[in-house]
Amino acid sequence: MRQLAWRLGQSILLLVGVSLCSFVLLSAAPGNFFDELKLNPQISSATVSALQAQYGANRPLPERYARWVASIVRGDWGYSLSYHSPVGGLVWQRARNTLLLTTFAVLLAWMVALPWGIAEALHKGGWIDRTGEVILALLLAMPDVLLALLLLLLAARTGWFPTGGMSSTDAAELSAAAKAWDLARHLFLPATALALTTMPILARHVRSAMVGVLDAPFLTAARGHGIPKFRLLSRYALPVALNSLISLFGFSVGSLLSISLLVEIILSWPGLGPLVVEAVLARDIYVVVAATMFSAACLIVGNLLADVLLYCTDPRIRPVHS
Amino acid sequence: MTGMPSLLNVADLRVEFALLANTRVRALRGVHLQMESGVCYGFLGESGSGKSTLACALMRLLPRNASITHGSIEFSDRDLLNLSEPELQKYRGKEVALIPQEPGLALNPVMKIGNQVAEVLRAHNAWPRDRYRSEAESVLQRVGLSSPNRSMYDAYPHQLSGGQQQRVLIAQALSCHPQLVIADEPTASLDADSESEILQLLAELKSERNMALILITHDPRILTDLADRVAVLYAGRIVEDAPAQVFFRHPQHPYSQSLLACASPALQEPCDSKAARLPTIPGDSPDPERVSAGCEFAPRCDRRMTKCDSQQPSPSSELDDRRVECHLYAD
Amino acid sequence: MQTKLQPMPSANPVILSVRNLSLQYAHKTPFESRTAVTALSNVSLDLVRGKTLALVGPSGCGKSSLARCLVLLEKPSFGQILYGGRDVIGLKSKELKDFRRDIHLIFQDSASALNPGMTIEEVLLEPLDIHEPTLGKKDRFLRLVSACEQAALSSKWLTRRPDELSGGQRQRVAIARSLVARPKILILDEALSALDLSTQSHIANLLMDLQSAHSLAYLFITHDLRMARLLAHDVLAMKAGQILDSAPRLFTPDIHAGPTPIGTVSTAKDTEGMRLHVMPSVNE
Repeated sequence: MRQLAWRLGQSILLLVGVSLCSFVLLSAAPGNFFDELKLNPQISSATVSALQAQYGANRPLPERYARWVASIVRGDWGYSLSYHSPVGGLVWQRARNTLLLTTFAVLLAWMVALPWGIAEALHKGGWIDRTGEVILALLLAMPDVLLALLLLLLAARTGWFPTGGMSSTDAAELSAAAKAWDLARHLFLPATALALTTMPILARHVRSAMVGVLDAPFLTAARGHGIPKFRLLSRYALPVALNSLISLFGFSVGSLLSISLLVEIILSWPGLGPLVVEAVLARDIYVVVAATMFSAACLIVGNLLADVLLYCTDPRIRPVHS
Repeated sequence: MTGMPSLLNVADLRVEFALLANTRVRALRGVHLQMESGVCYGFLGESGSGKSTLACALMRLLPRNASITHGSIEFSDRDLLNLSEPELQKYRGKEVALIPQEPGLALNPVMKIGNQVAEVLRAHNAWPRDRYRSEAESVLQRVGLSSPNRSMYDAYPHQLSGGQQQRVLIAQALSCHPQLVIADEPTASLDADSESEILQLLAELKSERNMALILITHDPRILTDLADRVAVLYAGRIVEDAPAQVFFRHPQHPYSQSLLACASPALQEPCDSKAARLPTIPGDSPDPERVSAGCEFAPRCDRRMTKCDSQQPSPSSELDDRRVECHLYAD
Repeated sequence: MQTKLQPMPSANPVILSVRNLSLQYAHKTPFESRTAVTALSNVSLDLVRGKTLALVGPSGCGKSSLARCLVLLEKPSFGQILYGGRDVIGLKSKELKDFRRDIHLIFQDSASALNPGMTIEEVLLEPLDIHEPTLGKKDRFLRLVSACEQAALSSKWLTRRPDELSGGQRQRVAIARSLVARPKILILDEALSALDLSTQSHIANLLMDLQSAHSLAYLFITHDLRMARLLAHDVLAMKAGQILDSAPRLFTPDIHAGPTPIGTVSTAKDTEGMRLHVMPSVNE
């Protein structure tokens, strides 16, 4: 428990570091929000400088950072100039959708990758293994964008799934159950696209972890004790193979989050992705910083989760209590 | 040996390994073996002699690239080679149990040792839930894995010493009261203290349960106390098979003689002559890919004759219960 | 025999002295707070030119930690390692080069100690690349050949890779590898333990020959008391990180005379357990 507290403290420090870096880097990038306004002939330069003063944009960097930190305490996370509203609510609304999408995608990817990898490992060298590997290789070779576009094409041609958004236009009138079903249908396409981008990597890791464990002497020893095949798999091989996969789980959360930004744009899922792109183009830096902080936090939480899981499954890393 | 119903009967067993590039390695080249219940049989052989392959074959646990090409294994009048996988599952651990090599690697690293013993009990018994635990606890206690205040049931393998891990393996093997236990190098990775403790434990359990024991080792010294019979393996064949007393007093095969000489080098020489040489066996261990027409030991033998190179020695007739495969003792 | 007739190469026969060496590990795992584990405490010993010092003890007693400290794979927490009148612990890596050339560690598990991707020839030449990069091609070859000869390595093995050799052959490669750089001290950490008995004798004979030819000092670390008694001029026993009977003695004149060598009193039980004589059968 003390370790957990220590890790949390570390994570907060890390987040502070991330915020500083992204803040400084974005400020150093050429141009800012007001440069575009200045180009607009309808807005007088006086108005622009008044606005600049109002939002503190002409203050030195440390002061701007301090003001921003103060706004976090208020829950605002800075002020978005293009949306004219505090960033906090704006980003959180979108982040929720991204989180939903990523969680589903992670679950989906693992649910496919685990049995896939295990099946391949069990039939190592057989036809199941070889066909499986070919499919994985094909999926791996395909660029993420192309994959998303192909799915979009499929959905558009067949009409089985809605091709954008989170809910149908008539969603407000539906019952709770129908709403959930509607959401699930909308979720399916982006979640599948996202899951397909990491599933091959995960499946390969599952396969190699299982192959390593299945060849381990302790498994032969367990076979020698007459332990039935199903128990060999569930009680011996899987728990040990999971060990190396859990760390991968933390990583998969982080990597999926960054790919999700891309997929969201292509499949028009109202998540962080489209928001961030607009914000970057508009030099709306507080939105970008907040979004960066959000994904950093997700990555940290993912890895923390993996560590806790590892702690639960592997007695070897637990401290010795005498 | 004749007349008595035998527990284990191995006849002309041959095992081949398929390696890459279509080479086949003959690991066992015709092993004959007969064993009664309650006996301790020592298998003596150096690395590459096929002794571990023999253990695996008896458990039907050979790796995928190995195959039994010839011969038969009968256990309690059942042909082991005809058993189906479910039948084998009931046979392994219940009737014949293996104490594998390398205790550190042979245990599930993320399962409590007590559960690992209980797991074996569960495989062969249909009991109410809590009985597995109590039974496993008593087996652990029997092999000396309990402290007065706390049971070691909940310990994980990495928390134990090598000797203690070996005890867990013994507990697993003995939990279902098998008729035959095969111990593959049970002391190879242990220091002298734990070695004698483990041998002591095996000896106790053997007499307590009247079980047959096969002790596989490269070191004749661990057989002196325990073994009733000794079989010497060389290049996949049993070259000498004799009652332990007879064997240790008068080893006949030149290989057996050299092996015993290596195990107990003469200590009589005065300390000053540090350059005194330890007895060795000249030459390299046999190359399993090459098959000689004659005796496999001939190139290293100091008593080799001309026919040794060309003619395979046939086993001598079983005078006073021993069998030697060497031209020196041909009838 | 030869060692006795040979004059001592220098006035001081002691080549390496260890004084009050201690080693503590701070145990760290992701979730564990630091707990200090004492692996060595106050170890002192001397290695003598042309002599073998055996260090025996049960597993986990700190033998291997000591070996790792001696070749500076591990930084001792306290104490001195004196070589050529200098304490090598504080030396910078450049100054350490001579020391590293003169002292070599041979592990039990030669299979994992040799780079599986290199041929034996590459393995054997590597020490020369590091310690004597200026050596000419011809000299390098001569060194290689002589090391092979000394370690009884056949030249047909030079093109093979470690996993194509047997355990005894690999251990010979490891010995040859340490001979190439012409060391003065060999630390043998359970170097024979994983081998068959006849192979153990082979390697032991080889080690004795090399010792008398080059006046090598050996630290022979083992749990096998029998081998210790056969090879060593002096035996130290170790338990729980400490040397029992801690005064280092250079020579015990007749180590084989009594049933228990001096300094190993506490392991007398082991001696009995070893059953040195095989012949009398004990089944009755």
